[in-house]
Amino acid sequence: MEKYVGKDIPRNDGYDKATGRGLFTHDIFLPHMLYAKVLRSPYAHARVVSIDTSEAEKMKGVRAVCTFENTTSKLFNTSATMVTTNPGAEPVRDQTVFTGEPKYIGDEIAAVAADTEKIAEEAVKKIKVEYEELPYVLDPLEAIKDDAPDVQPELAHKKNICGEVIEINFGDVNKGFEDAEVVVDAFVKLPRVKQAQMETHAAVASYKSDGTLEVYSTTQTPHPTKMIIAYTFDLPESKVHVKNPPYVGGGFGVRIGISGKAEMIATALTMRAKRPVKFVYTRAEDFLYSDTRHGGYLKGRLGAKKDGTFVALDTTAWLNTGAYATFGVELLGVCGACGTAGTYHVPNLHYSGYPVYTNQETAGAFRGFGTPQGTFIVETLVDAMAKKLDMDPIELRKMNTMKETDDNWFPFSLGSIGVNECLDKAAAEIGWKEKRGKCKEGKIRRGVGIACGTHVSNAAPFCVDYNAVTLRIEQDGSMVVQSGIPEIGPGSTTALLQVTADEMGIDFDKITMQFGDTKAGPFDIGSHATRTLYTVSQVIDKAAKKLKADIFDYTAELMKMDREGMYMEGGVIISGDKKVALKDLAYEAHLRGKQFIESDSMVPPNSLPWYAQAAEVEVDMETGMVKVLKVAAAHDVGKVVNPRLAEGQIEGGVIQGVGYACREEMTYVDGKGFYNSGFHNYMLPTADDVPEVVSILVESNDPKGIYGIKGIGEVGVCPTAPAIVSAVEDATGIRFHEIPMTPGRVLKAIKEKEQESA
Amino acid sequence: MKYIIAESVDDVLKAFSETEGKAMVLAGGTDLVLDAESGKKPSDAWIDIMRIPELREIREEGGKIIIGSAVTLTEIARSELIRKYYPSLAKGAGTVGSLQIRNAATLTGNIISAQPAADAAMALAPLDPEIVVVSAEGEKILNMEEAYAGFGKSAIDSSKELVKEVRIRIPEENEKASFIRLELRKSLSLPMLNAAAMAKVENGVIKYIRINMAPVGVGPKRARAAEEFLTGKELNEANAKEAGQLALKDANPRSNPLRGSKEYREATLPVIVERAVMEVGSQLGLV
Repeated sequence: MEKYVGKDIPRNDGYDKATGRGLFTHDIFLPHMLYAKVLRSPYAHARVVSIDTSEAEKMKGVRAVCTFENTTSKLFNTSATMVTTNPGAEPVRDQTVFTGEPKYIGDEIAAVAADTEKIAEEAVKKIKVEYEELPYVLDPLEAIKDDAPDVQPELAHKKNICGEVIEINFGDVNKGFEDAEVVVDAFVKLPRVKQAQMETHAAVASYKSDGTLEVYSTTQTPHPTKMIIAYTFDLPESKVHVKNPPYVGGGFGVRIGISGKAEMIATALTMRAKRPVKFVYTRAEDFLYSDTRHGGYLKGRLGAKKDGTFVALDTTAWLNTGAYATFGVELLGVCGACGTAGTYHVPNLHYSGYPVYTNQETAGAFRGFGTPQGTFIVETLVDAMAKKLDMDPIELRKMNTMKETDDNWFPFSLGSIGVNECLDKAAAEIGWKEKRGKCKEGKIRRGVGIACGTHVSNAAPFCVDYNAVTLRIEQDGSMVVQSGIPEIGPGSTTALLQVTADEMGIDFDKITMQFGDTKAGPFDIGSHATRTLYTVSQVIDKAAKKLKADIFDYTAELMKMDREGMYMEGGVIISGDKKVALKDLAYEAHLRGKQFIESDSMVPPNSLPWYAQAAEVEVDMETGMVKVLKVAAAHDVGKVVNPRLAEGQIEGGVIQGVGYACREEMTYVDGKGFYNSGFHNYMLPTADDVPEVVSILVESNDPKGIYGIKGIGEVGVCPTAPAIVSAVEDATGIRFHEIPMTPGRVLKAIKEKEQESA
Repeated sequence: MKYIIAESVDDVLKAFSETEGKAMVLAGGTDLVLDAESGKKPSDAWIDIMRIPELREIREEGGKIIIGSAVTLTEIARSELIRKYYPSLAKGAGTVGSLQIRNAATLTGNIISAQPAADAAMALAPLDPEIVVVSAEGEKILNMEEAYAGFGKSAIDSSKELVKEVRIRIPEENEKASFIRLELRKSLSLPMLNAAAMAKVENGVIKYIRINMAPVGVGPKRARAAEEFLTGKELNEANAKEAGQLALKDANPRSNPLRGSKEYREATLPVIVERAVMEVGSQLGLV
């Protein structure tokens, strides 16, 4: 019986975060520190004809001016993919710290470090730049046409495609469609949306006279960030220290690697000024000049037998990755792998994914990493199939979802699959049987919908993903867990120590974690891909077993206790009728020159977190207003470690999904760039807008996860939008193939339908 | 920069004269502080009026409700007096910004910042308020329309004029007011459209009705054609619908990348106006 796993243990960082005592990068102030501001391109594509920084340099208080002319032009990629691409494949390196050929509105040309932010801002205004405007392209479908302007002429794989076109083939899709008795098609358009994490990108970099570089930053991945900085600035990795201070104000994927470009710009400036430099993105900079979720287009065709058995699925995605790749290639991979090919057993599959360069802000990782986009097209097709076959959408799903024995394309064993239980529980909670498909009339109409899917619990084996921990018993028997993994909000340091406490048999409050720091441990890829709890618990388990064995061997010998059947509980080592407190043993060991330390490293296995969400909506037929009343979110998390934290993850994801479905959208204004410069003009739901969210935790006990754990971090957002779209269809009879379902779009569709039927 | 804390209306007038028109009245500061920071409204001094006791009150006096200019929106939204006579004003005041903003911001500020669709000012508009302005020249009373000089531009010069209070007549039994908001989200966002109405109905017939709507022009715009149509008619759904259509005659909505295109606003303005009228009917137990 576990003492901590499965319990609502209050988070160990809760007081620090709630009272404001916890430190974040924004809170870091170092002696002699300077402040940075950046000069950005006003054009979507241009060439800098001339740049004159002399006026800026003359200003009192200006300590360094960096431009594309005096800063390294080494190509890199801000995303962790730069250092985690599997052997045999080359990562895309297509960015420089500053550029003389800006490729989107906001591209960095130069930066200033000065005694105050105000001086830096004034100095940036004094930099004179003459541009020559160049042709640009904004839409991914336009960009792949032969006559479109080239965004990355030297680096594109083919016409405006970064890296490669992702192809997934399983079975024979053409033959599959020959065998199909019923076929449905769909084409969908999805928006760019923004992570909108609480803490904007920030870094404080300090280059010291001994040649070491210390960087505080908001990164989700200290180790890969260290490697990217060291590579770009030609520094030995041993001399680069990257750390969170220790907290990070959210991430949702936006800083897997470099935080925007904060670490790079602060590093360039500190190396020139030889003083610490702080660079904090304004909210507008964060919105307009750092990765968004990929928007774009997806097309799909699903074939089935008359009884509903799926036989073929063919999907294609053209997603807008913006001016630089960042995670473009990998994301199109996950979109295909988890989003389109993961959920259902379809014997014949094909997927093509086009990561398309355009002259816009970059798109990269955002909670779900391609799975929401892939899930959207597939769930659109499945609902269309249910309609065509006149079957209940849940029955059709349940007969086709992946079963543990099904052939599949995943490069690892499937593990436990709780998706049908999720479908049943979400349906029951929303009142599916009573509400779905009932005749809808009047000005205000209600409907229910559902969607399901899967994702991963880390990135292995699709990319390099491994990690290490060091476990140490202090001389008083308390314990230290060291890992490079960050805590970016979900309560990772709490859940991980719950697992550690149970593994070791040591009380939770006696264990402390060092984290989010390249000096806290050897390589750990970081907090991404729904992996933190799943993978770090794997390596803790591995090291803890060795640590316990060492302690027990030592105890048996020193205390003359029987090694056979020895165990530890509440910090007391027990064997037969003999016991010794770890506190006493550790000190006795210390007096004899012994400390218990174990370190280990591993590539984790992978497990599939399954989910189904059902939504109920209300649609105002006169104004087009869609109101989400309730979302029942059932998630197969394998095993619940901390119910409250797990529910927090689900609720946060669902609310992002509600925004994605109904409100959130980055709107581009030609010649000006994205319109959404902050929370006031980006319709992120507020606390007042949150619908009722019922989280249902399904425990399928995964055979590969420690205690049966699977990941949870990203999946809350994955099925929400298609579930809401399905509910809107139930209410109005209109299927939306474009989100968000803003009142304008919804009303237009209602009027068109009225005209058609008139 | 100078920060003057006024403790009486006389203090404010004195500060006006001492600063020679280079100071600005500061109430909640939820707009002014941001505008000063961005350089839109520079000034040499701020005159803080939030500690002037007589401006901090909501009271009933001579058949009127007096709302001091330093009363916050939260206080209005929670005022028993306002909720009793004008629940629509409590609703409008309770919708501006977010709770934190409403704890500082004032109704008068909502008028003076002169955003057409400001929710509190919108809810106030059809109540035919008297806006009491004092300056070195004495006291004057503006009506709602007189308070607006243009888009985002107030007729009140807060470097030499102080709004002391807003007065609203206590309604009779057969007079009710409404406020409707078409919103993308409930907090921290201007509405796509809003509308408010006040009417008096005798024997089922509308004696008078005032309807305001925004953002369709300068300030909370009157829907004159709709008002004329409804006056003397029965308050029912058919007439409300017709009035909604007529509202378009006085409206010139513009497209906003976020809060709706011109077409969308033209399609939904009649619905919002109809609902504002029907809400009055519903409060009177007529529909």
